[in-house]
Amino acid sequence: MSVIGHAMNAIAKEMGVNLYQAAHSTIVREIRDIGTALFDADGHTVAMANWIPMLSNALEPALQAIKGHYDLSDIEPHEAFLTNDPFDGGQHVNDILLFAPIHHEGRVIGFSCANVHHLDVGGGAPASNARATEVFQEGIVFPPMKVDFSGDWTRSVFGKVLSRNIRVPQKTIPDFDAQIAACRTGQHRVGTLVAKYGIDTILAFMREVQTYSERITRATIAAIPDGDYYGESFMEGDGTGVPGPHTIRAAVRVRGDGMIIDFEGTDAQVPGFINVPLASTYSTVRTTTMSILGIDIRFVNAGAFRPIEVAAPLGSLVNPRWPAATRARTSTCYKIFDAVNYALAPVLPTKVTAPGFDSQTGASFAHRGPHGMSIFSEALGAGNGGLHRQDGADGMIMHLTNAANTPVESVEIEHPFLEVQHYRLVQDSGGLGRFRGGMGIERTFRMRASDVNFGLHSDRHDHGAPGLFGGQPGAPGHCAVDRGGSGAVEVLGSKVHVTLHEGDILTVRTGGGAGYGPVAERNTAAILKDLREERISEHRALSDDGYGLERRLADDSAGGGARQAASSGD
Amino acid sequence: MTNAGPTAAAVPPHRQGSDRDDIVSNLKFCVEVGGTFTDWVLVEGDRIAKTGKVVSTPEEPAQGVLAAAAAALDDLSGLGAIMHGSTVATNAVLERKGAATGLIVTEGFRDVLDIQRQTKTRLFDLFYRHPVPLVPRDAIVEVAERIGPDGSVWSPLVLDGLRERIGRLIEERGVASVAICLLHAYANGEHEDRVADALSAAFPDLLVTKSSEVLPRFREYERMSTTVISAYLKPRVDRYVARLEQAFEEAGFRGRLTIMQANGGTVPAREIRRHAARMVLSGPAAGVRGAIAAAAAVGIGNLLTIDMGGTSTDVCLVTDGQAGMTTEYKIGGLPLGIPMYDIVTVGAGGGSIASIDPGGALQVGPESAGAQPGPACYGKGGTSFTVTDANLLLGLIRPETFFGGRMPLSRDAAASAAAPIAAALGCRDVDAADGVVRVANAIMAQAMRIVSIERGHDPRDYTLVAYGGAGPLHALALAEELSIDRVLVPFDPGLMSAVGLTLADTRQDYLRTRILPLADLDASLVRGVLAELREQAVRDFATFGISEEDVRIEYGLDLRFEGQAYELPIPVDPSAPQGLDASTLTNAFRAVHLTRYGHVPASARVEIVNFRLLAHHPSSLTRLRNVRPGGGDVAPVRHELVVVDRTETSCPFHDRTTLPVGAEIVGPAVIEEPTATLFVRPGWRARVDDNLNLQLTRTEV
Repeated sequence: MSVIGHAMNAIAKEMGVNLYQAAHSTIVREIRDIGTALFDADGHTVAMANWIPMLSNALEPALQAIKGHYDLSDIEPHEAFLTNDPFDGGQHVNDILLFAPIHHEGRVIGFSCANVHHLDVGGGAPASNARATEVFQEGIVFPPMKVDFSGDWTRSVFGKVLSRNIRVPQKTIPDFDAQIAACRTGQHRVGTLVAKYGIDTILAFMREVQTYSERITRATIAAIPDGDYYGESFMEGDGTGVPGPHTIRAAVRVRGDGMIIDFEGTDAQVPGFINVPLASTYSTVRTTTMSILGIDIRFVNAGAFRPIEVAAPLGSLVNPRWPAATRARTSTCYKIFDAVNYALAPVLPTKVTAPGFDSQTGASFAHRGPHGMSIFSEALGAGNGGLHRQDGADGMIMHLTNAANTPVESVEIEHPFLEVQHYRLVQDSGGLGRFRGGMGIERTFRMRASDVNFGLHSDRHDHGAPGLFGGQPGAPGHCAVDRGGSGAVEVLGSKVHVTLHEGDILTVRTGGGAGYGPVAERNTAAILKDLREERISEHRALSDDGYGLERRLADDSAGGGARQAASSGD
Repeated sequence: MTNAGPTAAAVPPHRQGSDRDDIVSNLKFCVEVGGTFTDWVLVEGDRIAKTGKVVSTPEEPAQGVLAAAAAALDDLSGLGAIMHGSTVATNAVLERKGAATGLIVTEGFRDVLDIQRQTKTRLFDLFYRHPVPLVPRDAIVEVAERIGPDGSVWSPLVLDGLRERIGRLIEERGVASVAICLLHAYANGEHEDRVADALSAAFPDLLVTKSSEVLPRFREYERMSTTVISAYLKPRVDRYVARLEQAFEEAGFRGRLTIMQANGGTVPAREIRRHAARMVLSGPAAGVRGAIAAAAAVGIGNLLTIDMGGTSTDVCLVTDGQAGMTTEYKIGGLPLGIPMYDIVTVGAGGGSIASIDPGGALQVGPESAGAQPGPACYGKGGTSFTVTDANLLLGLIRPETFFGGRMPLSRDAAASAAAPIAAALGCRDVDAADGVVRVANAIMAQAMRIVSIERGHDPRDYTLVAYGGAGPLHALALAEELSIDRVLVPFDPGLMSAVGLTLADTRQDYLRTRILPLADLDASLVRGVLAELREQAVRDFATFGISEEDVRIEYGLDLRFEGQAYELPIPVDPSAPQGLDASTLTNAFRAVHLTRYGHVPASARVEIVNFRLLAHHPSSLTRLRNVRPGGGDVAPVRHELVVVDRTETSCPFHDRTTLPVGAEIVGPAVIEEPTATLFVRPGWRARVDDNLNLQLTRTEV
């Protein structure tokens, strides 16, 4: 099984590499906001690649939804299923999921699948619409459908409708070409495996590898004491002004070697774009449980998740009714992560994490120049939470997504209307604790042209990530504009849309991670190292609002002032 | 160049200029320092005169080199050249043994090295952390300046206070080397030059490395990381090379010392001291170079090399005698973007440990028993079941002949190590051993697929060339895995890297980013940039003592569709009449794109991203004549029981060192030599070719 498993993993990975290397938009080629996987004929994952966990884990719920409309065995080799419908297996509308059948002697034996976050799919604003209250304002919706990709797909009904409803076809069409090619690569490679090992061996592998992964998950869950564990977390706002908090409540019910994650009691859906489509809730729960339980599986597939059930009340934030807006669902997904993490903290204290900033911070800048619309869109890393035995990572992407940053030089080469003024970690943003939270990131842009359409979706701009086991909260996020570089700063909030003009300076800041364990238990050498590296200020290191190092060192030793010790390093 | 620092003066004056005419001797000493052994080869004319292995001395690597030289020759004065490859640079990065290094960046961008690309490589691991940068945050200094993407100066450089801050780093942190990486310096290196000049003037002993010189290519993190690695290694490589030069000179050596690089070519010792990072991974590159030469000598130009060692396996694809190149390599997780052989490494080797995971599946590696304690059968305290133990249980390696019989192996120890694995799988020990070999092969095959199929090449068009201690043992199973019908096991496969040194060209790669749309291409502009690179190459080679007419130049452009981030290299000929026409380049690029990705956008515009130049001076030696004294015997030495595909079979064992040219052996058979064992699987035929390689062909499929 390992032999074929390695080969299948390699195929899923190769599909993704081909996809991002041939893609044209920064969101695919630099950020790698993609998912690639292989499925069996019933629509269950048998292998997936490590790109964006949220996107890879979302493929299966979508194919299962498609199964509600189509007989999965009734599809020709040149056709594929696709959907981006948040209310029928999809994620937010930007994610178009594509499923190409793998045939053997006229019979469907599996699917080769790729999910791409497309830069812009129309709607009320480029890339993301913070003012949306319905899915219609977020972009064009393709419900589950079967599309013929033989010949020039852009001339198909799907291709024509897509091309005329998006702002940057010059990026999106080649990105979609790459997505189709990735699926073709998977089809072809699995065909080669079948030729080599025989169809029976491959089909047996597809079954057995799922049983194998299921065994690992069951063994892991069985080690957790039975019981009902509760946790909650909240979104501060939905972008339309409906007063928060909007709370996610999770009950983790552990029963033997299985568990149910029950969202009963979660707040109702909201008008703003922070609702989580059901498929995203599934995907988040999968990613969250794998991460927290520390399930170590070399072959990740549907079997790993069989022991984990999800109950999400219809009409709530985690399973909204049509036509809710969902574009910024990832920030809410992070709150699902937080709620489950809190629930498990008392029983798995060495495995859980103090919360990170855990708010997807997506910033997009759009400008119409002489060569058409140019859109720059990216997700910023932030402070990760402190952990048992180590500090939270500084300025790294958090656990549900794995989006890369865009090099400053790429931003400026490709989007001449932007200048990046600085890109740095934010001092003192990590929550204090025995193990401190990671630092947030600040990126500042100066506009080199007027009429730049800026949109942001984030959260935790009022309250930082709360500490765990006595740790302190991380710093909140922040977004502000300095009009014309005058020095007068206007705070914009976490979900905004504004027009910027030449000379305006816009700052986006992500928050820090929370601390883990009591501040008093932090190791002095670690404080001094942070001080030396200016990750914390002298005030935070020395004063009693911070680590109280001055008093600590005075207590510890008769000779040598704290300041002297601090400045000498260690 | 400007920043070679004071140590350059330590180079004996007679070695700084052209001394090629002084070389009268045709005796060359090639020495390759590996992790465990230092291999050497003494070449006389086109013939290997003497070979040997001594134990490496990781604490003081130069010692092992000198011991090897002493073993090869009493007196070094008769030597024409010494060619050297070493893991010293690779290990310095992996073990963090480089110099205290400082970094100067554009104001506002101190954390580029820390944030990296902000991603995780283990997605479901909450405890994942980025690889720790080689320069700590408090040794990074910002300077006010700004250059735009077109090379124009957005804000002037302000040097005020820089001297004081660097002075403090030198004094308080012992910083000996400084990297400079300013934004968009690939488009305009003037600010980096001025910072470097200011530092060299203030601190004559400080080693300074500029990003615009190391890797003039866009994407600041990757360029910064590469520049930092170079700066971090410079003092150590500098010291190491200086020590070797001095010691060789004291031993009477008056010839030329050249150093192997990761791009498969050599440069004079003085040059590597400027570009220390190019020495990283030079050992595997030398092995590939040796394999290319061994194959070329018998008319094979398309090869897939596999070098299987104790902890890992290196794989490289060579097409028409040219190894694939990459600028995407990472060492210890840190990007190193200089052009180097595209060698993919996977964590499966002879010492890789077998385990049963919680789901009940058999896994191999990446944990390795290494050389200490080593596989269980070494009897040095190892209890883990490794790939080598598995091969022993299968009967393919034998205690009497392993490592020339100088290393006793314990079959019992291997069997005890296998027992828990076999019990978990519910099978016999030998079946567990068979499973371990298959899983290890699957991992190696994955690397072979990456360099071939994933890059758009069909492995069936290639000959598998297997070397390294364990490579030949697995070669035929791997060939079958990729449907390859031809395998070559070179003469003395355990010494491939040292052999590669003898044949390596003098080589330098040049690269410059300049983004230009192909649509309104001005061919004279392109010709101009290529001519500038050529001038630089000619100047550099002149300092190596190689005159312009002896330098071969190959030009290339990295192209992409506008909007893409990944370029594809296209060779170009500026002297051809339409060589630089937009239509010629577009068509060439579209064809390569189709091969690589399987599709071409209907109407996207193409742009030039990088200009490339490869300058090389071919080695005077293009093939080695392998000779062996005495006659030979094709008869097997003995017969033993081996397990092939889970069935016990009686199998002839041959001694490779006595097989004559033209000898043919049909599988199943085992062919042993002191440093390697070849297993000829059923369905294969081995033949000793004119140059004493073993060539294998498939007799049935």
